[in-house]
Parts: sequence; C-alpha cells; structure tokens
Amino acid sequence: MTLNDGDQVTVFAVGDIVNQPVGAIAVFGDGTSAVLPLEAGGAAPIPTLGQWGLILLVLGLAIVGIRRLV
Amino acid sequence: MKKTISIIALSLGLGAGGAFAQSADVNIGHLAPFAPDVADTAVSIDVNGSEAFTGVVFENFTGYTTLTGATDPFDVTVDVRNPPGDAVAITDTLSLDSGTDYTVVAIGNVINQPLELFALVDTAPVRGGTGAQLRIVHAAPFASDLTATEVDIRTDGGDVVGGLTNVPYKGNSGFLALPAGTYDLKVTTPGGALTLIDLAR
Repeated sequence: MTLNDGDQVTVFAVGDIVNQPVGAIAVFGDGTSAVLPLEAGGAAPIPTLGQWGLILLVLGLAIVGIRRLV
Repeated sequence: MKKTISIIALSLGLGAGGAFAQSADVNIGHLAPFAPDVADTAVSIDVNGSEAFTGVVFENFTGYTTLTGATDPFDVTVDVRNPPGDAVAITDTLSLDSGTDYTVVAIGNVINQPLELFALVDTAPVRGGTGAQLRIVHAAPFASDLTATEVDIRTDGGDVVGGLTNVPYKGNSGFLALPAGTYDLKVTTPGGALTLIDLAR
C-alpha cells in the first residue's frame, strides 16, 4: 500500500474464516474506506482440521476409548 | 445520512429543553462477519432510539457523521439491528468528547467473539507536512481464545512493523508515524511462519 505525506490511514484486519475470509480494509482520514487488494494467490489458510482430519481424530479417540474399556 | 442524524439529535435536544453546544464526528463501520452471505449481514443503526442508517453490510462504513449533545462529554446510544429494523444485535452507549473524531466499528461473529461496538479515537487529519500516519487494528475474530488470535504485522521481507508482534483480537497499534512510501505488508502468525493476510504492494 502507498502512503503519501499527510495521509492518515487505519487498516483493519477483518474476517473470521468461518463466515467471511480474512482480509483488510483501509479507512482514510476523510472517513472513506476501501477493501485492500491481496496478493494474487492469497494468504495461506489458517490450519484447521478438515473433514478427514476430524474423522481421523474421532476414530483415534474412539480407539483410545475402546482400549481403555477393554 | 448526516443530515438525518443532526435532525434527530437536534429534535431530541430541543425536547430536553436545551440547544446542543457539543459535537463529535463519528464514522461507524460494520466489521462483524456473523453470516456467510454478505446480504444477511445487513443491519440498521439507531442513534438515540431513531434509525439513522439502514442496509449497512459487512465492510461498509457510514462516513463521518456529526453527533451532538448538551454536555462534554455527551452520551449517545447506538443500537445495531439485524435484519434491519428488527432485533437488536448490539446496543451500547458511547461517551463522546466534544471536538473529537471517532471511528466506531461493530465487531465479533457470535461464534468466536461476541458482537459489540469498538470505539477508536481518531486524531485530526494531518494537512500536508511530511510523513503519514498508519494505524493497524485487529478486528478479525477467527478464534475464541484470544491467544489463538495473535498475529504479527510484518513487511513482505519478514521484518516486524512498529513492534507489532503477538497482537491479539481488538489490538490497536495507535497511529504510527511512517515516511511516505509504498509498503508491502502482511499479517502473519506470531513468529512469521505462516502468512494469514498478504496485502498487495
């Protein structure tokens, strides 16, 4: 982003991944705002468990539980 | 919209038996990602009990609006309704200093962080001169544990900007004085290993 002499800019990091992707919004000294463009390809996703990860986690916990019971 | 607020405030003030002598400019923004469809994030915003804005969606700002009061500081009640005109999702009373500019943002996503208003004091815009002022605010509720929301602000080369490491949700850098120029910034996990938001140069 380019800052000029006299600029006053507030950049908000926004988004929650669940409902809206993360990104950034600039609010300028005159009250106007703009969504800031991101690099092509975007940012790396925050690592979370996907569908298969959750299934494996549940299976793992189930195995541990069964072994404790036996 | 600005006129609407002034008329509402004026009528309330006259009803209370006095003219308003105090005022503050407030820019209200919607940064609360509580729905996957942006249209479903639409809200209306009531100021002192009267609708002042409607159809405000995620990532919208109202622009500066002059709010007035009889005392310094003066209180303003803000209700955010979703859907517009319906249930109150956020209600708060702002205490505003006369002659001060504010940016007030609705933040939170319900799932990880509660919906609320977050008020920032804006300094008077710098006219001319050298250098710029940059403020960075973390309004991304991507985790419920505040520690898990921590990020660094770095240049594309990995250098930390303004000492901003381990900035949690609702973290506010304040205004950083920077030389005019082009900055290639990114938001990373603490330590810089993973880029979360990579701003274009």
